[in-house]
Amino acid sequence: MSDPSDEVLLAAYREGDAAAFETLLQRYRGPIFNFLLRSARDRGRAEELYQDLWMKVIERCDEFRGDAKFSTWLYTIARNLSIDHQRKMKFRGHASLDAPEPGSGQPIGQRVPNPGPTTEQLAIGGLVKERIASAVQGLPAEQREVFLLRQLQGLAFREISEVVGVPANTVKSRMRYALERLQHVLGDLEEPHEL
Amino acid sequence: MNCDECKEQVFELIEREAIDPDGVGEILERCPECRATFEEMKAALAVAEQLPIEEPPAAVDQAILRAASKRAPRVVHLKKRRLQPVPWAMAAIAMLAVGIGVWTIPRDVQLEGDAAPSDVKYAEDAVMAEPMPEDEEEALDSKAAMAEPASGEAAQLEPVERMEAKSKKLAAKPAGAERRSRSQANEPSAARVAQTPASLPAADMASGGAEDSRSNELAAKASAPSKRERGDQQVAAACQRKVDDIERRARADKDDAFTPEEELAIGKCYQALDKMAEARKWLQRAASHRKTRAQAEEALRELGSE
Repeated sequence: MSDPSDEVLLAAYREGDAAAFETLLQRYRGPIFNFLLRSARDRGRAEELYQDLWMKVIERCDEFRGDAKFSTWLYTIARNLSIDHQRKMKFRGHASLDAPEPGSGQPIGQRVPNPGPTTEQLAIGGLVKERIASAVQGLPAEQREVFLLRQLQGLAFREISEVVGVPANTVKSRMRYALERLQHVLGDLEEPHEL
Repeated sequence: MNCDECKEQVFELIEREAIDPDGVGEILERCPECRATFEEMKAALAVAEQLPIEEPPAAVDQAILRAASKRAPRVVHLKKRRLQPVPWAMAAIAMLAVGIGVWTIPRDVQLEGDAAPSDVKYAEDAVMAEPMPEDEEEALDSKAAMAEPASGEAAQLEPVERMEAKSKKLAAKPAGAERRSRSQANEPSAARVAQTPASLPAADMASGGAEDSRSNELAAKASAPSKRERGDQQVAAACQRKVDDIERRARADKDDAFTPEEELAIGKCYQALDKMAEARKWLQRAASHRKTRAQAEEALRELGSE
């Protein structure tokens, strides 16, 4: 017997089945948290956004009409929260990690690992993972969100285009540019399986 | 497939390679540039697979689940709604009832108002020998104003609030006027007085303008209730019809089938009909709602002073 779809689970939750909500949370908790983490670049902030996201799902679940998939709806909320957060950070005068640093011309986010690796992480090869994470965080925002939606959740390009609000071909182009950039930055990591 | 198409569909090709490696290989064999793009994307995706995945804190998940379980299920609302009449339908029925009532009342009154020649006025003055208090005059003026939109949509769409205000004014009418109105309502119906201004002199001419004919007619007018008093009766009858309708609904439905505004209106209608116990009951119900508390309490105060 196949698992119930997200939409069926949400409908069950609306009718009072709390276990259905728990199943939905289990399905999406990892990918959605990492999407927010890589967008916010700060674990504490990502945890706040993660909690806000699910509270919005609880509050607004009656508004979900099933025109789109649940995953599209969920990531649209997550993206909006993330954009709001980035706007607030800009308003507070934080330097953009996407902007090239004066002098070097390299984005700060690409240069500075975040959060900084610990000694243990370095010892177990975490440094490489952190390099990849910081390379992803160094991507321009529009490329990064497409990359994360595709890579973390495996959303179809058509679905990503609904979340981001651009045509599917534009989404594919952004994904290609993102991968080209990652390949350029991480090209020295020749064999990924050895990481 | 040309190079542009190949680049556009590179991700589809990467996915397709898993199930049809020969077909993809055949496409890429034709163009080294396309193959280079394909390999570059594949390599980048393989590196991206190593992106560290972090777990959200379990405590946050627990807090979310607690919040989710506290949310009231929608099914409860649906069941509750099924038991209650749709609010807009109730409002529409109330408006329709009031509209029909108002539409039927002023039609005659306006006819009489239009046909108020001096001799009809004379007959009324003869009946109403006693002077009328000012507040009674005001109540009658309000009825006359109500009688103006006798036909058409304007009459049917008269707001409930105006109806309530008129009921309130009627309730404030002195007891003497009320008694007179009631006693005349019990009298047998007299000859209809209302005639058009043109028809009345014509009737006089036909009878040769005889004085006794005129005096008989005036006597008939005098024995019939005056225009104003009939207006009182008609408004009271409309109010009674409304109350009857409400009582029917109250018997058919549950007590919570009424909105606070309706409870207030019902209370005021009972008040207008001098049914103080009923009026108090409905006004107290209306006073228990925040929306109608102020108006209901004011009406209860008036009720207490009466």
